[in-house]
Amino acid sequence: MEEKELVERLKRGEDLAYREVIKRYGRKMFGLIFSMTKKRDETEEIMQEVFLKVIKYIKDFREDSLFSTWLFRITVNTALSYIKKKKRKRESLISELKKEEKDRIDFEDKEIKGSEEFLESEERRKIVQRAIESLPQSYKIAIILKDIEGMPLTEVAKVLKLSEGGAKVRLHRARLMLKEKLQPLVEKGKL
Amino acid sequence: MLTFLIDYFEGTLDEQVSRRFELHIVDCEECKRFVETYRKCVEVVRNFEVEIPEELEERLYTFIKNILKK
Repeated sequence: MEEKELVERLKRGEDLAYREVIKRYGRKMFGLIFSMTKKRDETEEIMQEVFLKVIKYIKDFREDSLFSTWLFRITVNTALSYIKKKKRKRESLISELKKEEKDRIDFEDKEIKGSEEFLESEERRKIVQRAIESLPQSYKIAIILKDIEGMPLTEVAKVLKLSEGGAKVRLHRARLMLKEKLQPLVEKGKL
Repeated sequence: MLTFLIDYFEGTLDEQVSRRFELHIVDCEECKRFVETYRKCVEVVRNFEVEIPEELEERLYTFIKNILKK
């Protein structure tokens, strides 16, 4: 089904069109949100919220961008606002900063210093996942959309509301940060 | 400069500049090591597969159908 037809069917409220959206983008949405929340139940809750917004606002979608870009912009904004609300409720900024620092140290201790043995593929997957999760949100989003989901840079820029140059800088910084975290394992040929 | 490597890996860097850079990294161990690790890290991330909970798609679809019915 072409994107134009998909959008028309979504606008008509056809449930099967939504099934198609889940099939095409569900996994990507899950991966993106999960890396931000690190919690499966919250990720699912956010996905429901995203679809509520899609149902509500699809009629206003003007098709001046790709549907996927529009969908991922809603996904990112919804996830960020969920996290922000949650943070406001539960944690002060200082304790969050302390936690991030602790996460960073934990990551280095667990994944890098202690990994002398051959790593099983599931273990490798978890290491990469934790490395991605430990990035600042905006870096994480850039890496996931571009490198994992293979979204073109022009579209990544639109999701992040950046110029294409700005998106390149964001992506480069994100990759450098990730490189910093994974380098010891990469150099030992463990990843 | 910050976006140089992005353009290089995307293949959007000017061809001559790209060739000059490749010639440079043949002789420069530091740059060569940097580029190789950078490339490998991008590859590792590209091969990363997201695990999604079982039946998530079905649960979401049921949720949406219920909303659309209202």
